[in-house]
Order: sequence, then structure tokens, then C-alpha cells
Amino acid sequence: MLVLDPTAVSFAGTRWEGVRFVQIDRRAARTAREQGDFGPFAGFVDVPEQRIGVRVEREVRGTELSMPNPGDLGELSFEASTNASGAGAVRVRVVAVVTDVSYQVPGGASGAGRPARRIVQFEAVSADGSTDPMTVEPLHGAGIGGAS
Amino acid sequence: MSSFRSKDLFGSGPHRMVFARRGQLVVPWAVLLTDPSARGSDSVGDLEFEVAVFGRLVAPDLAGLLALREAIAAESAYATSTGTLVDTAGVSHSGMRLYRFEEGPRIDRGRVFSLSYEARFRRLAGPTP
Repeated sequence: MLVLDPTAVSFAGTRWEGVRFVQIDRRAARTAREQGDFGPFAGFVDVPEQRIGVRVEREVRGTELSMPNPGDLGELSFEASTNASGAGAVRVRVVAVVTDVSYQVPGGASGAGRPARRIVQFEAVSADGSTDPMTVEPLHGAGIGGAS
Repeated sequence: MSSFRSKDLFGSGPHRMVFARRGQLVVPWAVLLTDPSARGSDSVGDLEFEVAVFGRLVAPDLAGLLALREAIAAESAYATSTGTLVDTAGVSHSGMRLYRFEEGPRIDRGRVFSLSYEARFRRLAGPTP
């Protein structure tokens, strides 16, 4: 999932402004695979362990003294829509742990006119191991950023 | 389709059957005579015929998987009589005993519940005079 210019982005109750995109990747952490006696192809493939990685990139236009720390656990929430009208808008929630926080400063500290970026990476976590840590719910006609 | 004693024990998922080595059982004279100085060896008969099954049990839920596992475990009990093993090529092997059943390291919980395993059958020769 890739969401450009999401709105109402928050993590652990703190609002994050200027988020340019949220990227959510799902990968197999382990694959169960079995071959039978009847041909060259796998007869069974399943993914009993999967990893959900989240990357949030936001613009930083001034000095920033506070930041999340690796190991922080909380709910990352944001709203997204596929068009400017807000139709079909959804709210995405992911319970996740911060795994990496870094900054990119184009052109060095002078900035050269382009804003710096803060990149926070997460790994999603499920409370019971079976419930998907990511949920997507419709905003029922409300525009992006609207109340639900 | 494979079977043992007419039961489809392995059909829930893919499995492969492999024959163990065949030929003669060769034993050193030092073992036969319990004399470390004895040289050479001799054949004391045929190796017992053995078939290994490597596969995965697959079920839509945990209860179904545990039932599949217990069905095989029951056939591997000492009290269970020998029977005919039909391999994946459809060839029958009579007088076989399921003498070992080993599970993989974990039950995999993904789209379905599954468990890898290794089962071994052997035609035991029994004591010889």
C-alpha cells in the first residue's frame, strides 16, 4: 500500500504534520513449501509468518527537537483517498513498533531550498499473533480529514 | 493415492515416498565374534525393506490438523498390526509396519494449518534362528 499526501496522520496520539507518503509493505518472513511425487511444481505453499513494514516520510521545515524512539509502540493512524473529492476515503490504523528514525537533509544543513525529511520506519505487531495489525475502514462519505 | 492399511493417512497434503537402501546386511566379524582382533566381515541376510514418507499434513483448522496427526500416531503404535502400504506410484508393499512418525518443528498457521512430518515404514524380519 502506498498513500501519497495522507491526512490526519498520528502516532501514539501525537499528530504528525507534513507527511508526504506512507508506504506499507507486506513480506513473507517464512514460507512453508512442500513438494509432492507427481511433478516439478510445489504442491503446497503458505506463508505462516509475515512481516508488515511501514515507512512514513514527512517534511521538516524547522528545527525539530522531539522524535519517536526505536522501540516505541503505538497506533499509527491516517486517512487516505484515491481522489481529491474525498469519495471513498478510508482510515488506516496500524499498531506498530518504531524500528528506525532518520533525517535526510538535501544539500546539507543549508537545505538549498528543499525541506529536510524525517523518515520513520515501523514494524507492525499483532496483540495475539493472529489478528491483522492493520485495519482499513471507510469514512462513510466524509472527506479526507473529516470526522467519522 | 497412497494408503496404509487402506487408510488415507497422508493425502491431505503433498508427500513423497523414498525407498531406503536395499541389499545385504554386512557385519564385521569383530562384532559377530565380539573379538576386536577378528578381521573381515560377512553378510548375515537382507536389509529390511524400508520406505520413508516426507510430506505435510494440511487442514483448514487446528482441530482438523490434530485429527490428522493423531490418525498417523495411532497407526505407529506398537500394538498396531502390520499392513499393506500403497506408495505414491500405486505399488503395494505388504507386511509393513509404521514404526516412526516425527513432526516438523512447528505447526504452521497461515492461510491454513499445516505440519511437516517424516514417517517411516519397515518390513521387520523378526528374529531368525
